Amino acid sequence: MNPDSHAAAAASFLRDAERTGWHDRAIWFVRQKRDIAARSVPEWEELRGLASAIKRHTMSHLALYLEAFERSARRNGVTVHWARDAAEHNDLVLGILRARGARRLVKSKSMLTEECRLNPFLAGNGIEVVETDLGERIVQLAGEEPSHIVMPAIHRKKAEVAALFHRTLGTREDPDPAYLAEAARQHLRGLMASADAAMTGVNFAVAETGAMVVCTNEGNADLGAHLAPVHIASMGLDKVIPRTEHLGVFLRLLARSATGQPVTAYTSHFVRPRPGAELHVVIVDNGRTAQLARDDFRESLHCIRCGACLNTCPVYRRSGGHSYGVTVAGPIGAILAPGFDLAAHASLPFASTLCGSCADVCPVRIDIPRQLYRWRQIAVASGQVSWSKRVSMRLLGATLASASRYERAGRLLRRLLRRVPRLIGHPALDPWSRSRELPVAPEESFREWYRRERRTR
Amino acid sequence: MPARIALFVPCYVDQLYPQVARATLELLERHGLDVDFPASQTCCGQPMANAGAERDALETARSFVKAFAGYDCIVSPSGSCVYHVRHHYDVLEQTDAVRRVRGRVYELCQFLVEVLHVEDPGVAFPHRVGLHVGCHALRGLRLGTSSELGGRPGGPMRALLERVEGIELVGLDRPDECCGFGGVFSVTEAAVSARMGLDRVADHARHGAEVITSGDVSCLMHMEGVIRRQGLPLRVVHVAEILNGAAL
Amino acid sequence: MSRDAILAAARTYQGVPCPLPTVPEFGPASNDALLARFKEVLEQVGGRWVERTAGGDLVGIVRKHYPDATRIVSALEDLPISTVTIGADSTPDQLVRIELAILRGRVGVAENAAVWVDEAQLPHRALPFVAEHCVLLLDPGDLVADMHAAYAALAGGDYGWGAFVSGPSKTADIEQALVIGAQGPRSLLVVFDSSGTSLTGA
Repeated sequence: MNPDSHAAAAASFLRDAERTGWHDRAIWFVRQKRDIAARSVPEWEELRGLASAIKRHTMSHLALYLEAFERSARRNGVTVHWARDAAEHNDLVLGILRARGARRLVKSKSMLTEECRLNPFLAGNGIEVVETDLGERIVQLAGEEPSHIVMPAIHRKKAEVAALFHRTLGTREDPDPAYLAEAARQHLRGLMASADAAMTGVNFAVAETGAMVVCTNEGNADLGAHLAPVHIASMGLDKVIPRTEHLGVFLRLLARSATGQPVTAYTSHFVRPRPGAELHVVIVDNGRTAQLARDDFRESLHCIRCGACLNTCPVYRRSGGHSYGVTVAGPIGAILAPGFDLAAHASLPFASTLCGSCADVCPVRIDIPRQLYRWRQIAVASGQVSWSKRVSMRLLGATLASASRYERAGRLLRRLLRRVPRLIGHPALDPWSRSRELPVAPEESFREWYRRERRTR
Repeated sequence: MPARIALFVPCYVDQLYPQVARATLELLERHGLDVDFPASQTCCGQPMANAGAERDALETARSFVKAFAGYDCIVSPSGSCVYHVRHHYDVLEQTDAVRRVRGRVYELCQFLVEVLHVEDPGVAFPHRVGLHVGCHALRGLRLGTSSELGGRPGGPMRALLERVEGIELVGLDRPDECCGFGGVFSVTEAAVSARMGLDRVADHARHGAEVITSGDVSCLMHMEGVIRRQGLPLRVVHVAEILNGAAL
Repeated sequence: MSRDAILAAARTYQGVPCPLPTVPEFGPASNDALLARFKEVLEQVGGRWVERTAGGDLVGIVRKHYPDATRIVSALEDLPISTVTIGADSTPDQLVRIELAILRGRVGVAENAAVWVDEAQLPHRALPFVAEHCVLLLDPGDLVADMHAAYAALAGGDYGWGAFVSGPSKTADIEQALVIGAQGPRSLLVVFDSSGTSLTGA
């Protein structure tokens, strides 16, 4: 991946100006709903503070809480598995399925399983994977990745979904969302009723009781889990929280931040397996303890995957989730991904103006801008940016450190701007001028005027 | 003993928008202050630091501290530069001089309201004006309340402008969305930057603004570039110029 | 072993201990305010409500709102109108054919119209999800203001599975158009019923 990958993908996205406007407005609307919901809770800021502190405490006692969760879960009859990385997670899941002779797996939305690239792995091993979240099913049928962690198909227009369903499900090509949702209901119901196994993510794992909380609006996680003989829950180890009472804090923040709803339609607490059924949990590291080790970035592990930062980010809304090239896109993605692979994702921390909006909507008060800034320093220091950029920064640094050098450079710049108002030619030479006029250069700088008019001391 | 006040002029203001620095100087002097302009200043280092080259900006930052260490207040017509000094100079060894400078650098409107306790700027500007506070001033320095947090937007810039005679501050669809400048972002992510600038300017135009004002020249420079390319009937004027009694 | 490696890494890198905050109690409200708020939010999330007056006919309410339902499962002992028998060993095919499920909720949360149901009240966990329509009985005396109070009211309970249910199932995954009735029930009716024994003894 080259250091400019987000910029290139974003430029491509933006070529369809009208579609970009549609995408931007659709997601801004969700930000507005979030604002209304947040303002309806007088203690909103206090809840954010509590959530942040609970996560901070939990991460600083992570081993303790993971062990406690495991103890509680095992006591409940849940089988607990541990996976160091994505490959191990996938192998474990396949192992569970094979042990039951399972051929069809229904899945509710889980960003962790996307991160682990579970679906193609299972498909390659003869398992039929059916995504049951409508947005996930849409992108699955379309053969693409989700573009948003909460609204996977937000980049798709209803006419496109109609065409997709017509092609794959045999529906009539009708863009009415109610018709399409009904078609999906009928199509998925039968699949869920005949599944050999069900998989869900975990929004919160309670150490005290071993409960695994799964939040959905569609009811698909529960339908899958309660009808299948095996339920596998995949969780990142950052999902553990100490006590049941803490769910009150997080659940009051989660849906309001994500979609502006007071709560999701279903908040399901899985504690013990259904009599006669199996309940498994796979606890996954996959780079999380490595992020924990990074003092500057461990706070990124507090994320509860609400998507509010994506919705508020002016860059995300105008470039789309796919331009980030990672499972979890947007501002939080830009501080998580470089931890996984700095070389591949060095462009992400630069895909931001550091406007700070994300930090203000984050329900757990992650200081995303500070971490974007720090990742930039690391990216440059470890040579992840282009040679020309590094050289120009060094030159700039040398120039600006001396008043006389600075003044000379300033005069030169102004002369250049006056002579060549627009650097016509290859757009790569002057990206600014592709859509903006350059500033008009004055004859005299402020300090030249000051020296002339005010006689320096 | 009267306080020693220094004027900090951001590098791009010095070179490209000197009228903003002049207006700032004159404005402070009209409030009875004796203001120094230390000639050894160059830049606060933000353009490099935001681009990830914090280390390349260290000398510049040290020069900045040296130029301004002897002053009681350092005032600048730039929220983003002031933010950088206050928050990102933690990378320097925290000598007395560094701590002093970090604690005594003020954005212009913040200085006028919080230190000089100015309430009525005593000027007129009878125009429809869109206020773009600027992200570093708003969410960085908390000079106002961001729309994400809810409540009245407030802030010293708005407080002063609201008292300007004849001014009409227009409402916006998105009160404080970023304009898209972002330093080197404006070049490295030019497509997104330009689109953000376009949308921001369009919001102002849609609500009948004649003028867009801000406490940050960087934002104004970017929006002005869009306005001129699009041929829109809008002008950009820095807050310092309005408060200094500028006429269009 | 992966478990040991992961826990060792966590122990090594978890850093300086940070204190656990105390979660305070937030705004109480009078009982009247709770009911009005719950109703308001329930309507906002696409649910409906009805009040069963003292001595009121529950069967009549059900028939009125769901006149065409023929495959009914009632989980209420005092409403034996099930036309289908559901139990722990019911097959998925049997379960997905249920048209109407009638259940009792144990706690109702005014801030978000969520109602707690758990397996103790259900012949099968799938019942609140698999039925085409769902009726929840709730004693207004079991209303609490917020989620903190809800978890406090449920504390000490032992359930293998439970859920907060807020309104009918829904999705907005297609161009953000809200569609009521996604995978779970297409409608949810809350019947406020004071005739049973309130969980909170109110």
